[in-house]
Amino acid sequence: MPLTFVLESATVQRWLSLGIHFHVIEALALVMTVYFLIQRSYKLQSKKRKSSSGQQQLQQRHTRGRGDAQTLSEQEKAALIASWRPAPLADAPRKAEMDLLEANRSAVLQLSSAAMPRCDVDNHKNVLNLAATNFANVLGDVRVEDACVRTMQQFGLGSCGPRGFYGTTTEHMRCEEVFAKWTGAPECISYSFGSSVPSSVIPAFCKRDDLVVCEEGCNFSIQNGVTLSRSIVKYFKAGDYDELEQIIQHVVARDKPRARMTQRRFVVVEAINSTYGTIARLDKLVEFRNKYKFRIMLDESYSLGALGASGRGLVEHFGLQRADVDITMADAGNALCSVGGFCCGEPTVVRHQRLSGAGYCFSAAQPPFLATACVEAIHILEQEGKARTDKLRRNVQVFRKALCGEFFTAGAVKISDAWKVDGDVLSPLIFIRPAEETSCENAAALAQQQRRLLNIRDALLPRGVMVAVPHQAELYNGSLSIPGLRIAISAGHEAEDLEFAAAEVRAVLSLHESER
Amino acid sequence: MARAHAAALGAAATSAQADADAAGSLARSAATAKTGPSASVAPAKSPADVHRSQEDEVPYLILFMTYASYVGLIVIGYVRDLFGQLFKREEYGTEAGFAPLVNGKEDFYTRRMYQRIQDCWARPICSTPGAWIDVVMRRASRDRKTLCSTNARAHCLNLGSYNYLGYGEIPGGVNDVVYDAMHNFGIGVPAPALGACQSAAVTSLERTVAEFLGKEAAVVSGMGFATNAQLIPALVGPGCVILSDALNHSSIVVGARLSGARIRVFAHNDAHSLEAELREAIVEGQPHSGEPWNKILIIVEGVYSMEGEVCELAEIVAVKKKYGAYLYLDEAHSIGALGATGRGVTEYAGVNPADVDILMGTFTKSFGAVGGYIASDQCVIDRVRYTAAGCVNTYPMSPVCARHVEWVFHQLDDRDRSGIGGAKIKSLRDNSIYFRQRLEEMGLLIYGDYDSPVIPIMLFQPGKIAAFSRECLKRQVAVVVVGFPATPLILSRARICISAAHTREDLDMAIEVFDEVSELLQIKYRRKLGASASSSSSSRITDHSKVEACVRNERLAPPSRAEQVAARNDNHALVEAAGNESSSPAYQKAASMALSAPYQRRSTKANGAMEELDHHEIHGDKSPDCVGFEHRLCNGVCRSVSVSDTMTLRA
Repeated sequence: MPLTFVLESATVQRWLSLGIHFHVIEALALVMTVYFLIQRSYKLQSKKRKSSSGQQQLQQRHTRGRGDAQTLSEQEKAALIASWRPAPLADAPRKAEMDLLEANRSAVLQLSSAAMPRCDVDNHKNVLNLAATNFANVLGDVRVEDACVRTMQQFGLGSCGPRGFYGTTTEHMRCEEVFAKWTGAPECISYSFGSSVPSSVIPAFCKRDDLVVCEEGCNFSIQNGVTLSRSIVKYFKAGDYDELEQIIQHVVARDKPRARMTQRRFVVVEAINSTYGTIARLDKLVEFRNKYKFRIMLDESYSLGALGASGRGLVEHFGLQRADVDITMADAGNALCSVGGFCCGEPTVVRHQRLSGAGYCFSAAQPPFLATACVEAIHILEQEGKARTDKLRRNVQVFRKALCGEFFTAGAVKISDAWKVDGDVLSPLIFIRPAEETSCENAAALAQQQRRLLNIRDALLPRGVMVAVPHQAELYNGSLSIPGLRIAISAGHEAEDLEFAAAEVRAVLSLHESER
Repeated sequence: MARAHAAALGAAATSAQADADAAGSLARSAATAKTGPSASVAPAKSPADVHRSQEDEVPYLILFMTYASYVGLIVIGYVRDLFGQLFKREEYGTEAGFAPLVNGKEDFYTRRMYQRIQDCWARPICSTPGAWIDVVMRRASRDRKTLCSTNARAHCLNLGSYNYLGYGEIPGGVNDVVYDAMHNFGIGVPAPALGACQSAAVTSLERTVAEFLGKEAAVVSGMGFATNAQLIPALVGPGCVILSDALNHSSIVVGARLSGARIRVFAHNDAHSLEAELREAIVEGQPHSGEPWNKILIIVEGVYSMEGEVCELAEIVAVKKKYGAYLYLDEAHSIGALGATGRGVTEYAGVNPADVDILMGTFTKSFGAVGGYIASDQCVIDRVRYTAAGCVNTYPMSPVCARHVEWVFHQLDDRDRSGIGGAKIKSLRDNSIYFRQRLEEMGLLIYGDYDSPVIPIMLFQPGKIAAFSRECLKRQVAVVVVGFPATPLILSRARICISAAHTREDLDMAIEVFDEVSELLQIKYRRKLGASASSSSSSRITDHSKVEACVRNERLAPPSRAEQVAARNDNHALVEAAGNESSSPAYQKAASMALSAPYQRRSTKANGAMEELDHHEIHGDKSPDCVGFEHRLCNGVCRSVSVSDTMTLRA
């Protein structure tokens, strides 16, 4: 028998003769081995299955949707997929935008001339232009146009690449230098589009867990920037600096004493609020800055060329230094009448953006001739800034006086039962709104009002006056701000024209008073 | 065919993930390369996997050296930071009570890596961005942190600007149209379009764009970046899904994030991954509630500017149609540059523009101006025009640029009957193919598709980024080198942009310079990979390029459009095209070759990989299937071979 032969073999005999403790240990080891083998083979299999079917892996990662997604059979999945019907592409993606399309439809007028203080719109010739923010009346200046032609002859039209990749011309560098010098900042960076400046600058500096305190009614680009930054955001009512102080005090109160500060804090304000026309109290902000240690981001889009003795903006208006503001942003589309944007500040502020500002780094450079247009506009403002801003201020006074009567010195003024005028007395942006507040959440009502304002605008056109009805800025909670008529005064307007325009506006407003 | 390749790549990437630990694993056999409808639920991959698949092609030695370089740089950087913090308090500290404006860690890359070689970027020029540019020479300031311009100028061949059609030049670019526009419409319009007025020049451009693209309507924005960033949120929002290509441009990422839609990323240019993600999104439904999604928007680019790859549009359109998703095609780099009449990747891939719901493009590249557009159905454009923040709140593009772009469109459409537009498009294509071919012959490792005017040359190591750029500049060639923020850390590259304005002599001169510099820097990686790899191309080869090669060998004219499309789509169609158009013998030869190719299915094993390759060397010429091969060789050892199967794909 082979078995007896095996049993009788010396090796097996020796093994059998080993002590019982040995056999116990051996048996245990065997059991363990088998156990581990099973474990391993099981794990291997599951691992393989996971990696071979990424779908399951992904499902495990986000099993937040249909909780039973994993348990669905292939047929059920196929049925789900077959039954899915997309909404039309043209549907409103957000509730607030539902009625806006209809309200705004065909709200675009055709401008068949340059946007000068008097221009041709649709079929109306020589209309008084109160829509363009050409505050310093630089548009159409021969010096600017001549310089642009020279630049185009040397540099061509477009820059054909981002600033990093041979898109930088000597014109861009000159423009940055001139702008920095004009505003009094150490360094400046230029963007190719004004509305991409705040939405690039804010996320470049504000990161997760940082704090951004924003003024309500700030332009959509700031709101986009704040969204992209993923920082903690708080809003304060436009012009309500007590509320701002409360918010900051509340934050500062929770700081540990003597701990090293790691949270960056910013207050973002517009020099002239683009929804309410209020002028930011920079003196108060700087006082708060030094007291509570946060940085100031100032959007000077509407104040450059409009505020300050020589048109250098809000900082000059308050007699402060540019260094008191940490980061200054500006749109070159307003007083400078070009296309583009700027951000200026300390060298660290500017240099960081050259790699981190998404709208700078990943976008094509501004066409060189538009940089030249900025440079020339600044030259004009350097030479004639005082005369032009004085004229602008006088014009603003004339118009407000004609519009508001004896109340023109106050801030928000009710000009009739149905209408009020918003904005600071010095602001070249004047907003006319319904006196009766509508809830910001009621999108349908707001859209209806928007339509009504557009009707007023259309009624003003045959009377020879063009005003703007800006798109409503979305507020932080997804609701819309209350729409209004926007009137932008320029240094190029004549006093009698403005008086006439104010009278026409009042007349049309009173016509539309009953229409509610 | 290209699809087969992509699938093979995808499969290789997945299997690479599966046995990432097993470095000794030699072959990823063809069995894993599931293709065709049977494998419609292909494994989904994260962007990391995609990069991995590219990194996988990098030989180990180079990979090691690259990482070693970065480790060295990081160590030196940390040591310098340490000493700086000890001895230069005022420079490293911040105002008391304030958190540092830029966190040391966030800023580390800029200060310690970018700053060392910052002279390679943002070189100012003082000329048009044409074929030749005058580069302003700079020197480091005393603190070596900034660069100051000097009076020296270098006249260089420009291989960096996106001047694809040569409209950045002075003769042929700027003309009276531009000056008239400036006087009639002003340089800028300082009023938002909505609620106020829009310049007639811009309105007229919008009409021209829509007509050119065969869409109902178009809307124009003042900046290409802003077009994506500010207009996408008007199309999708919460309750919608955005399926975004892994290598989409930053502006799309920003736009997608602002929209509030759920973002899912699919593997770069991979229709299978897209399909898997799409199916899964539909099955999953909205988080928490499980309700079905409102809209699903697929966002892809026409030509990927860092990869030089052309989008696999036909396959993506097929997926899109199958499930009813919407497709948003960003043609920033392809409009004007691809297709026989410059109508972009739709024309190139033979896809009906009506099948792409939204066509987006920019005017910076081929048009030599600035701005961007979105073209679609009237109702969609109305939605965008009247509700998108980027249309109603911002200032429009300069009427001067608008008029210039419109004039370029008219030239491309040959409305002026000058034939200039068509000649430029043809010249760009010829130049791109010629240059890519020459670079490949040289042994450089390059990515991308044959017709793309963007040609990335792989450099890998950070030291070579600067060296390549500086050495080329010394030899009067201005190139763009791209490093980390724009590419994955390991995949640094030089990016060549071909222009219609380049002459053959210009390109030959550049080739000479590149040859010299790449010998110097030892970046002829493809040659190093081994002799057996030399027959394959590092570029993605399609049937089309095969045909191209054939044409070049026979010294014949490039193919007509019909042939191009046919070559890309179907070998059978190619024969028809060749027959119908009674074209050159070269095409007929190529076409017959395509048909005679045997149906081959190979399952390769690790040990047999080399033999397989050799075998293919011998018979490969006859088989278009060989182009699906993707082999990576390192130190004489074949690491992976994925064989794809075209017949399954066509089924």
